[in-house]
Amino acid sequence: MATTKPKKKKGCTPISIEVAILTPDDKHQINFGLTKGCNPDDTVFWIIDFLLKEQKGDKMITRVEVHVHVGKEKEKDAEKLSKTKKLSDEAIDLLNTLAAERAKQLPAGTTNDPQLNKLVSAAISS
Amino acid sequence: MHSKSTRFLSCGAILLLLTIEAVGQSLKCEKDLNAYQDESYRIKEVRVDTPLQWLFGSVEKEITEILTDPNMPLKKDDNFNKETFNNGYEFLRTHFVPLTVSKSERLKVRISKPGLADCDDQAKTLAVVYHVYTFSSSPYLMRAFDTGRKEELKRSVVDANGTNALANYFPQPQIGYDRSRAIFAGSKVSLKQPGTFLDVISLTGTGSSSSAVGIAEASGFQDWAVGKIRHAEYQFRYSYLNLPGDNTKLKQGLGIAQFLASTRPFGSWEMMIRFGGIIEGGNKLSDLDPSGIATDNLASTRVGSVKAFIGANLRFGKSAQAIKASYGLQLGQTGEGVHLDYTKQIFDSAAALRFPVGDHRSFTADFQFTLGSIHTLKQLPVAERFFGGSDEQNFTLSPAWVIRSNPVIRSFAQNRFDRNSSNGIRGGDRFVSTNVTLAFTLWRKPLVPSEIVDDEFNAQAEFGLNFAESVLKGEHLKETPQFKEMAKEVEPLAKAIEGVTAELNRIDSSTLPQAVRDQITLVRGHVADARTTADTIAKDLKESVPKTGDIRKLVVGFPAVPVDSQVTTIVNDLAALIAMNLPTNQLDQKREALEQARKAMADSFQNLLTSPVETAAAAKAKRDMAYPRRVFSQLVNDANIVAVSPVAILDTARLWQRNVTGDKIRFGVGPGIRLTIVSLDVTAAYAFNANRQPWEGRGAFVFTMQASNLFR
Repeated sequence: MATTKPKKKKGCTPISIEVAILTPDDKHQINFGLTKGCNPDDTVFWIIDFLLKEQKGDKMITRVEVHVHVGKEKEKDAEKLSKTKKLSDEAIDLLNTLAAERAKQLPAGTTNDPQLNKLVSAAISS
Repeated sequence: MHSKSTRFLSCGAILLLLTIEAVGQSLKCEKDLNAYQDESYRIKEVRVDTPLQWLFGSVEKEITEILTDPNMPLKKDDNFNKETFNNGYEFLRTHFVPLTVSKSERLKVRISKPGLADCDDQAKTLAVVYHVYTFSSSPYLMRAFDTGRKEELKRSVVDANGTNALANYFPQPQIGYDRSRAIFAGSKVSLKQPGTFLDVISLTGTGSSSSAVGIAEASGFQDWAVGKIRHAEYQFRYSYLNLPGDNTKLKQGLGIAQFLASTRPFGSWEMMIRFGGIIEGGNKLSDLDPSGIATDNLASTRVGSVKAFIGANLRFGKSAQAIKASYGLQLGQTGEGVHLDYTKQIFDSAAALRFPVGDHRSFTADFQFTLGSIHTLKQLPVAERFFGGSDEQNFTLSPAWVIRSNPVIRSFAQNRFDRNSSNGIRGGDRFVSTNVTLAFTLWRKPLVPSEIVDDEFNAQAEFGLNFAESVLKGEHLKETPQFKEMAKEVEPLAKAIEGVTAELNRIDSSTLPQAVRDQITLVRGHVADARTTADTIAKDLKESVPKTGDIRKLVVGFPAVPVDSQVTTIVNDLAALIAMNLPTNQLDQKREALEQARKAMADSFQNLLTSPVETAAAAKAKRDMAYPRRVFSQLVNDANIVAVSPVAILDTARLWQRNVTGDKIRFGVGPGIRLTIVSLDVTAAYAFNANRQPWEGRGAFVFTMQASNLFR
């Protein structure tokens, strides 16, 4: 995409992308974010953000909002995903169904749920 | 291409920008982050680099609040530390408002990355810069040749509560100069109420010692993501104009209602067809002496007319060269009653071409060709005649669709190109005009600094846009008859599930061993889950379209987790149940029937995902994303936050007046300078009247503000 490619410096530099899209039926808003973070020793960690809003009346209501730190075992998948630059159809369906349903079951304010983390992390390896 | 309504001068902002530029010669930071940490560089500044934040006080305020938050790990005057540098970025990232989309901005992308700047190896100081870029795409406005102009300004700014408030209430001071009007000033206030019948209500007022303009307007619109018609809008306006010409005053008070619609983009050239109509009525007045007007013309009269217009715009080539052409027809009457007194026809075409000639530099060429003709059957209001000059008149009410309806020649002040003889009648019956504007980027500051656009940045951006495309592909696939046909297979599946339930009911008994009864309870729970999903699919099939995720959940599963499909879980449960000691039953047949129904539906679903139908849905999604991808790429690789370009203008115009000879071609030739601020071009020039007639001026100053052709 770029016309200029500067020399890449050694070490890790964080970067983040967030995408929001309104589905053609105008009833759902899906936000998906992928963040590469850096540890002090220049190793990488990944964060996935997922937000699903649904139209209720004339307002978009947040149905699901999750921010998941990808576990060590999935880091390679996250890195691969960042390189292949594509989330599979199965992954999108997984986020929209099982992950969304699990998030809805959790009490408000839950910040860490292993099952939800597993589902969202699985999205990057599907 | 310029109009009074867009002539607001952000002098303060421009001067501020130039000042920033003058002092903002940054020092490069070529060392590793570890080196700056080890050598104890001091942080002399922490800032967020987001385009145009200086223009929006609310964004600036919000960013300042985040950076000065006591919990912000990175602080000015600290020694540089890699860990706090990274933590500071994470703190900032998590404090931005989540992106919000709407029917008019269906896609938004935000990409952010931290970096260093101004590394002074002598003083051992540096600045930490968090780069944040937001891009949003409006399917109609951004494809339209003539954009809503100022809308573009907001798009590259980071989302903040203040920006949203600004979008709903947008006061704009307006100031300008024209030889006819002299210095004029005023204000426009827009009040947006998204989602209501009238989305925008605006009031505009400008005045000078010799002129006055007042416009009250209310408008609404509707955008659709599917179907042939993708955009419709309606406007209601009352306008009062009192504009001088050459020893003439043209006045009008008109009530106008307009409707227009636009199709979806067709083909690889993204051709969009637009059409619309206007009904108007009111008064058109002039202070001309009767000897200065034709015999069948009326200096002042009541008027009424209907207008119809159609046009197309398209884009071609790698640099998205834009072309538009429009035709308008007006049927008008004077006085009372309903009768046809005159007809007016307009043909207007334009091309905005851009040729990249280096890193963030381009050569641009804008061409416009306009024809107009009036046929008087009975009587014609003088104000309807063609008055030319540096200002264009729009046949429509929409700033997003300009059909130029007068001869524009920039060597004449507004309305002063109006006759072919010294004391002849005013206004033309026919005209032709051509306009050429050439510019070359001499100096620029890229919107997205080249040093942060590396492979990783591009990969992240590509990932985001691919995600949006995948979502759209899934949505398009769901709309196909083949998908709905496949989803109907939920009916035999639901029957097979019912068959299992009936058989379970038949064999269930309190005399069965506890282990068997527990297994039956387990199966019943999973059957209930599957039935709920099957019912949801069946309901969606009736009312809208089922979700691909529900079909996967029911019959395919998610191997990546791994999670079996709900029906597979029942089948496995039944197998375990059958292996237990049960009285005679038909569970095995029911299990087989259920598995067959699952397999049939799962195969249909999987086959659909590898069929030409999926390919077509993918192609449609690709088309939907072609424009956002291109604009995003242009924002990253071509757009400048500020650029200066020398400009050359060459205009020709010819005016015909019935029964008057001397219809010579006039020329407007001259140099100028253009200041580009992201997508807004501010051009100042002087055009000489190269074929000057005795009663005409030597030339005219030109000052225009318009959307850059980068995003047309």
